[in-house]
Amino acid sequence: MTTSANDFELRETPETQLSMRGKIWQDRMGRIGLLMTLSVFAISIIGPMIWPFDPAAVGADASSILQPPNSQNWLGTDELGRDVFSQFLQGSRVSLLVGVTATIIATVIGAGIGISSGYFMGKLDTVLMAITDFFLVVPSLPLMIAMGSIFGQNLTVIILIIGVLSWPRNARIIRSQTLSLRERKFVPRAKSLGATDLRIIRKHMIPNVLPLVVANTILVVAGAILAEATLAFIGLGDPDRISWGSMLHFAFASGAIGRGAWWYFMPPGLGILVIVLAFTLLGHSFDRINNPRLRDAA
Amino acid sequence: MNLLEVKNLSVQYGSKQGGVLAVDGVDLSVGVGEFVGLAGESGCGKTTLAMAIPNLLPKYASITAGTIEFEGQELSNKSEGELNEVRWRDISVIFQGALNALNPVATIGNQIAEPILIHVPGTSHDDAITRAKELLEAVGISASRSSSYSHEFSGGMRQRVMIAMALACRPKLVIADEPITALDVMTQAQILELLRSLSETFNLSMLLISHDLSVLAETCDRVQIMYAGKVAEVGTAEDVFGKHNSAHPYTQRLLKSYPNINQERKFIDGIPGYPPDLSKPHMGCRFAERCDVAISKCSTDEPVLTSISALHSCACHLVGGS
Repeated sequence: MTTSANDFELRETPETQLSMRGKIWQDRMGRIGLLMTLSVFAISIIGPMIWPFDPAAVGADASSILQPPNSQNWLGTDELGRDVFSQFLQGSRVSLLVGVTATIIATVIGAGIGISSGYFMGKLDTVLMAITDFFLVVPSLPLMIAMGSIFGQNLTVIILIIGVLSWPRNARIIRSQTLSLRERKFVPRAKSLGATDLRIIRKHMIPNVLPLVVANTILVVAGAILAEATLAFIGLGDPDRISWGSMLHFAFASGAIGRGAWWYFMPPGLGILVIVLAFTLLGHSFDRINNPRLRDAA
Repeated sequence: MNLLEVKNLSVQYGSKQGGVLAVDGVDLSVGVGEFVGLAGESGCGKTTLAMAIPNLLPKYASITAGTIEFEGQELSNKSEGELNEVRWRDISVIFQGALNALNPVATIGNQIAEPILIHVPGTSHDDAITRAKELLEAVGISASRSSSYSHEFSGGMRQRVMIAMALACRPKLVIADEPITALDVMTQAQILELLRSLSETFNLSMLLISHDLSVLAETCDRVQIMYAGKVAEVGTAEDVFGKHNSAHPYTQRLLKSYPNINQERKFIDGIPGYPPDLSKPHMGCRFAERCDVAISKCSTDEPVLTSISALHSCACHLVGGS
């Protein structure tokens, strides 16, 4: 052979040089989502350093109750005279914590069930998909309320409940992708090389479904945050941790909404809106980058 | 002694309409350092025969008769675990449609290293990658490309990667199932030349499956023509493809189906008709219906492989003894 190594030198095209981050940044939806997400993360990280008052500190006297925004309390005070701005900063931490951890649980369960179901097929598939379908059709909110009232109101329980109820969609999507992947030629090739099922799943299946998992995971975060806010709003949140949902709950319970105390319920409401929107935009942007058929649909 | 000696092998596919005997009593031998070509039209059992050797047949196929001897050891009754010892270390495969057989999200180096990691216990990942890089160089690709992905490679390069993968554990026999299909003629020539030179360097024997007779004529020492699950003719490339040498009417018609670049342009005679349905029992010669020199005996008696000369045999009533 006379072919020299130089004949096959890789010519980098702009397309291959763009990292995932770069591609998201190029996508308008992705850029807005990324900026919004990063700002919420920034708020929750620097919150404790900048909050002017202890979020849980009750006001000194009756004059500090439900005060509109002023120079001391930038977003006014609540029905107990606590500083709304400090609570708002604190609330972002709980929302993100619940959203991200519950999603990790949901992704691990969903990907595990989806990959094993799609890869092994047969009886295992039938059983796992029956379970998945059960969780998919069961109305999750009443179930969450029921489980919340049985297992008690603490953050770990809430995270577990949301995580355990958010995986079925993930499992379905990953299963269908795995089903198509296992028919690709590199799977029988790896098998004939003597690779075990575990090795094929680890080296060939997981890397191939990963982009899909990531895109879907981001969308699950949005759902999980919303679920936490819902639970907290109806009074099933962790009473010891202020979240945006529980702020709305107390604003509603104390009649602040009826009294027009907009500074009390607007910040957590908008906070939830922004963070859910941020993760949704980011998730769709990921999806669009990974799925060429959606790429031109912008 | 031959490296590989397949005797009277039959492979059956189970189907709802009953079994299909895709390979029916076929002999095949490959000597050390020998290139053997396997030719025939689609569905004649080439791939089935080849895949039966390392028993990489699909689940619904089974070997119903015959022996497969590799270096004196019988392969057909080995367990999956025992076969894994033989696969890749002794017999490796370049798969059909190799262009799609690479994982799009794994680096080329990791994929070539995979058989080494599986079949040579105790190899560290780094050692396997080093070996993968050597193999890439051996097939004419720069070692620096081992961290590239398959979409960054051209068709010919991917085929080279598949060859490197087949050579990963220094096998003695490589089964190349249509290694050059879907490549352009220039690349085909390069790949064939590569296979030839590698076989000299690594002292490989090769079973080359193709339906391109010109490729086999150029590359192989011996050629075996199959028709409907049976061997029609076997001999040296010169015996089978030589101008007045081919004995079986099927081989002759196959050769006539190719245009001759030295003659004036004329319409090529194909072979009218289709191969017989293998799910039904068949009487007589399987080619009889399409054969233009068939005699009455052809539709009643099945011809057996009879030798014409030392290496050349043919299964036809018109040739040889009877």
